[in-house]
This record gives sequence, structure tokens and C-alpha cells, in this order.
Amino acid sequence: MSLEKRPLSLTINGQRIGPVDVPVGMPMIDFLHEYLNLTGTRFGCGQGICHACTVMELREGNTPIETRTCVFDAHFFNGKKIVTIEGQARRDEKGQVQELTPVQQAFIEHFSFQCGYCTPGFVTAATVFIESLKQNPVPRAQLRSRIEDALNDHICRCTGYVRYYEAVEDVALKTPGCVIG
Amino acid sequence: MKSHSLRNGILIFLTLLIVLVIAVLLGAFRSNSVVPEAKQPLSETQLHDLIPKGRELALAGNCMGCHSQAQGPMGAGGVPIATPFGTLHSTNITPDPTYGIGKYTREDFHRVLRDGIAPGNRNLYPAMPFVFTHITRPEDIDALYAYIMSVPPIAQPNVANTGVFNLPVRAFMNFWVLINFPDRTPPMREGASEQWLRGGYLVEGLGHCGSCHTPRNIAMGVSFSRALEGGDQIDGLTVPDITAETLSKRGFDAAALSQFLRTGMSAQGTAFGSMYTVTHLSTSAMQANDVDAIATFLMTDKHGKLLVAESGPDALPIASDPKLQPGRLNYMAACAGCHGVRGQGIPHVAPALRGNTAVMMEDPGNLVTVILHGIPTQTFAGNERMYAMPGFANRLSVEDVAVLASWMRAEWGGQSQPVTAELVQKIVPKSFN
Repeated sequence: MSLEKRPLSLTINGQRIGPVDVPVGMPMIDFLHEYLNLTGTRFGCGQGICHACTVMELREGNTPIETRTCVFDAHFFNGKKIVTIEGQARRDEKGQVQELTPVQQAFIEHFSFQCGYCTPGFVTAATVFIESLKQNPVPRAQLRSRIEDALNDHICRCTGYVRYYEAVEDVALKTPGCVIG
Repeated sequence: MKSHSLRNGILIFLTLLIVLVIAVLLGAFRSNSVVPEAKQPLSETQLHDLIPKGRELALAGNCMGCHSQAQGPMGAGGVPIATPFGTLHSTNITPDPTYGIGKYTREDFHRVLRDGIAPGNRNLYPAMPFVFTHITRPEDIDALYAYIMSVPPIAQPNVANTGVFNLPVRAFMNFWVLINFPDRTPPMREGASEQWLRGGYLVEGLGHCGSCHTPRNIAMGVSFSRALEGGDQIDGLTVPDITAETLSKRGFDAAALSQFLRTGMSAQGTAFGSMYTVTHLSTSAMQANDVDAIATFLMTDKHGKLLVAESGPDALPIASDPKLQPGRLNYMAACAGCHGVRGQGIPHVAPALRGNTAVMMEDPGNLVTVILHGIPTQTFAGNERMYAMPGFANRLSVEDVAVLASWMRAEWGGQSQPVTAELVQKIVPKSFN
């Protein structure tokens, strides 16, 4: 018995991938790890609950959204544009990191993570959140509760939530146009 | 002369009609089914001893489910109930003397549950299911009274009703009851078991299952001749047929149905929408033997036969049709990660879709609604918890959802009628349009 395969094409971190034959039913995270050697996306619970495996899905004319890669098949992403943790920081031609994103920098400055397993997911969530604030700024008094809502689905096993949330608050306050008042 | 007698005849007829209308409006035809003993107040000791029994009956009726807001104080009312004529709000039924029912006598309380009339001859609207609670036995109404009078009083005023209910329309309820309030009695059958009798008493009475699961007539009265054949939509969801024959086709037997009611989870799916509030607040907290009785009654057909589960439908040939293959591939891409490649689900994580009621229902509305809107995280009895299912309205096109639902129905639901993109479009949440 042979595996049922279908061609898959998508854009990952600005690079066009495919068409490449990928088995039907292969989780996206396996495709990232095994086909593309993009191992920064973390496999956590495998049931769509911990959100360690989220990547950013870019949408034409709309703010990006988070999408889990453990419960969705690689083909769910056919034709889509996504950004994995490897695509967040700015790199030079040789692939060396030149500059971290404000969210990544803030996580380091706030000592937000310990083991770091959940961090790629938190970077994704926080980036999606900041991008959404740029479109729909939030009154200052509501910022903290909005951060909690936005990051609530992400589980950190070292329970470093407070420092993650403080870092995101910091970025939101420093980024022009995110907070009203 | 002739025209005179005709005119007189018309005048007499009109006068009689007006007198009759006034008599109806004044409630002249409302009967009183309260037993005479209810005039006698119960003693403190009697009340105290009746509380546990009353609590179980209040759970069966899910009184507090409708009379408490989510996260709000128990029994303080204020839950909106939308009707085509305006929004009603459930009332404060705590024993607070000012805002609740603290001043109700034993007789007042009997009158409410038996006849739908509150003190001061105030006609209740049928959002209060008095057409069902009517069959409740006087000793059980006493127990309910004892329990309700024992819960903490909450001084919270009632929320005003809106729309037509702002007008003095309560008197018109006297017309409504003339046609919609039959004098019912608990289900009875020659040679029936105690369990069946108890189940029937709860299902047709306090449990008021038919309030949602029985269709309503044009006057919004419960159509008792079509009992439990599936009701009108609630919050955009179709209320399923729960007759014994249909439950059996969906793979229920009495044990499986009882498990569903006690836990909210079953091979046929997890409770969601307003049924979740029933399993969560009512049936999961009831005594197991009462829930078993309800399940036994519901699984017994009109001829008194206790039905067993039928095996689920085989995949229809149309499921292999090339036209539906995009639906299968959509399932593999978007759904199989949690619901399994063969629709078997993951225990404690995601319900099975093979044999799932929403997939098997003739009306595809509930299946499409869940795909588009998702289901929030819900907790269940026994520390079970189902993490939220995401809505796919912003991730799949209406055509993708239509072919996905069509394939699932053909593969697991025994339903060959395809789902159209037009139908899906009608169910897309407004925020995504």
C-alpha cells in the first residue's frame, strides 16, 4: 500500500516552496521539520491545546493570524503565506541574524523564558497581537486584559507568563499607534 | 321588520361576543387545579425535611438554569429569552421578599406550577413551562417550594421585558391557554415499569424536554401530538428529534443515553449549544436512577418496546464520487488531526464524527454551524474538559465547507443530500461577511 500524496505549494518566510508531493494527512509541523529542516517550530501536546506549534499566517489586506501546525495537515496551508520562528528576525544574505524583532528583543530583555520550548509560539502570538493593535489600537486601561486574552491559549510549562505579558506590554507601549491615551 | 330583526340579531351576537371576550380576558375560563390542602401552610419541620427531595426535582426541572445568569447569583433571574414579539427575562425566584418570591404562600406556588398564574392573578408567559410542570404531583410541588424557599435570598430587581411585552398583554394569555394548555396527566401505560413511569413523569413534566424538542404550533403552543419530534431552532441550532426510533437510529440505547445525560459526552457527540446548559447544570447533577429513568422512558417506543442501538449507516456510494473528493481532502487537511482519519475522534480531546448526531441529522444546519462557528471550551462531569474547537469561517471558503459537510454526511451520516454553498453562506457569522 502506498501513501496517498498530493502536490503542495506555499510561501514560507518569503520563499516559495513547491510544488512538492506530500502525503495526505501529514501534519504541517512534520513537513516543516522533515522536508524543510525548519525545526524551530515546537511540537508540544500534539492535540492543538498548548499552542507551542503556532506559526503566523499572513493574509492579503488583513492582519496576520495564528495557526497551529500539529492538528492541521500540511495541505491545509496550500497556497498560503506563513512565517515560522526562523522568519521573524531580519537576516543578511548569508542567513546570519542581523536584528531581532521588537517582540523577540523584549522577550530577551524581560528574561521572559526559561526552557524556551513555548517561545516560538509566544513570539508568534505576540507578533500577531501587536500587528492587530496597529490596526485597532486599544485604550491604555484595557491593554493588560487584551494581552491576557491574546496570549491566553499559549501554555508555558515554566509558568513564565508574567514576564511574557510584561514584555508584550512594553512593546505595545513603545510601538507608535498601538495604545490610545 | 325583517332588517330590524337581522340588526337585533347581529347586536345580540356582538354583545354576547364582547361579553365572552371580556370573560376570557378576565380569566373566567382559567381553571384552578391546586389541591385544597395547599391552603394549609407547611410547618418548619415539614419544609426542612422536604429540601433534599425538592433540590433533586429543581435539578430535574433545571429551574436555576433559566433563572440564573451565567456567573450570576443563583435564582436571581435576568436571563433573556428572545421571542418574535420581544425579549422576556426570567425572574428572581429566590426567597427575597421584595424582589423574589419570598412572599409566595404554599398555595401561590402550587398555582404557579399547576396553572401558570402568579399571585395577583398575574398570567405567566409560556416561557415558564407551566404546560409541562402542570402534571407535577402536589407533594412534589411542596418539596420544590421547600427547596426554593431555602436558597439564599438575593435582592436583585427583575429585568423589564421588551417589545410587545411592555404593553398590558398578560390578559391575552387567557386566550392562549384556551387552545394551548390541555389538562395533562403523567404518562401511564398498562404494565409499565416503575422506571418508565418515573421517567415519563420527569420528561413530560418538570424536565420539560418537549419545551425545546417538541415542535410548536402556529400560536407558539406546544404541539403535544408531535411530542419530541424535534423543535424549532434555538440560537441558530436545529433542535434534534429525540423520539425513541430516532435515538435508536443514532446509536443510542438507554445506557448510552443515560451516560450522555449524566456526563454531556457520548459516542454521538458532546453536548453543545443550549443542551450543554442542560447536561451541565441539570442532568449531570441529578441522581443516577432518575437519569436512568429518563433514558428508559425516552428509549421506549409508542408500543412500549425498549429500543436498542442500531448500527450506524454505511458510507453511501456518493461519498466515493469524484465530486465529493475535495470534501474528503478538506477533512484530511482541516479536521482529521483531532477527529481522526476515520472520524473516530480522540478520547477526552475531540468527539468522534462517525455516528455523530450533527453529521447524521437530515438538516445539515448544525454541522455547518459548528464547522463555521466552532464550539467554546467546555467542562464536563468527572473533570472532563474539551478544548475549544476553532470556527473555520475565516479559514475555509463557503464552497470548501459545503463540500466538506457533504462528504462527511455521505461518509458517516447516511445523508446523500449535498450541502450547498448558498446554505453555508447563510450560516457564516456576520463578523466574517
